[in-house]
Amino acid sequence: MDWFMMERWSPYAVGFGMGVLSWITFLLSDKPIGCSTAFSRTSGMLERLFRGDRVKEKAYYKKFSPEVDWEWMLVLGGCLGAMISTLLSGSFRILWVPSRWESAFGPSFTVRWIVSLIGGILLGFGARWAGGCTSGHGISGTLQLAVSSWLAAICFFIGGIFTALLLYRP
Amino acid sequence: MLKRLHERKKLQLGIGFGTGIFFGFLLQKGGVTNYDVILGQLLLTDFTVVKIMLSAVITGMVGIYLL
Repeated sequence: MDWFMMERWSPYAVGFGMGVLSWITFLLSDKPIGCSTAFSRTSGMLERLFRGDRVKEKAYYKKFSPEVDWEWMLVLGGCLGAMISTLLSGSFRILWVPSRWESAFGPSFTVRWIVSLIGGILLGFGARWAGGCTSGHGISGTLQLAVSSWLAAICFFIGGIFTALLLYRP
Repeated sequence: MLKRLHERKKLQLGIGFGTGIFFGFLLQKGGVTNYDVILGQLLLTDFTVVKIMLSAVITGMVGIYLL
């Protein structure tokens, strides 16, 4: 039980666990672990609240139907799993501004919130253009040796490192 | 393989949810749900993210090859 209450596991153990989890999901569900498609489905569901069934006519939503699917449940379960982990280790807390952000840009929640929102929009755009995010391309695609996924993962890091250095270099 | 299992829609939703719980648990235990850890990777001062991704990919590859 002590193992489950630890705050951090070795990154290699975590990676191994994710690898084994990917075997199991390919076997039991024939699905790669990914997250970003669930977000476009959710946006379709939200749009449907306002525009009704016309949403389903859109070419995009014909391809990614706005409904709860396997991956949507995965994202939901992911939130719960992460929460269980923090509760077991006693590290659960609500944090409005991360410490590194605060030391560079100050404690304002509004600033942090606006930048997060812009960042989230860019992230969503990018993940949909690329057809995947850090989990779908970065893990599930690369482990199948998909060329597009290796390219996408390398570019995620190039873009991220460039932006982080731009923002955080004094 | 296991085609009949893959066709059981409701059960698959449950499996997706269960997989998510394990995945979220592992992400949190690895520290990659933490802003500072992600940023540390992008500033090249903390290589946790790359260590996790590469060990997941290497482990996963072996399984995919054998499946």
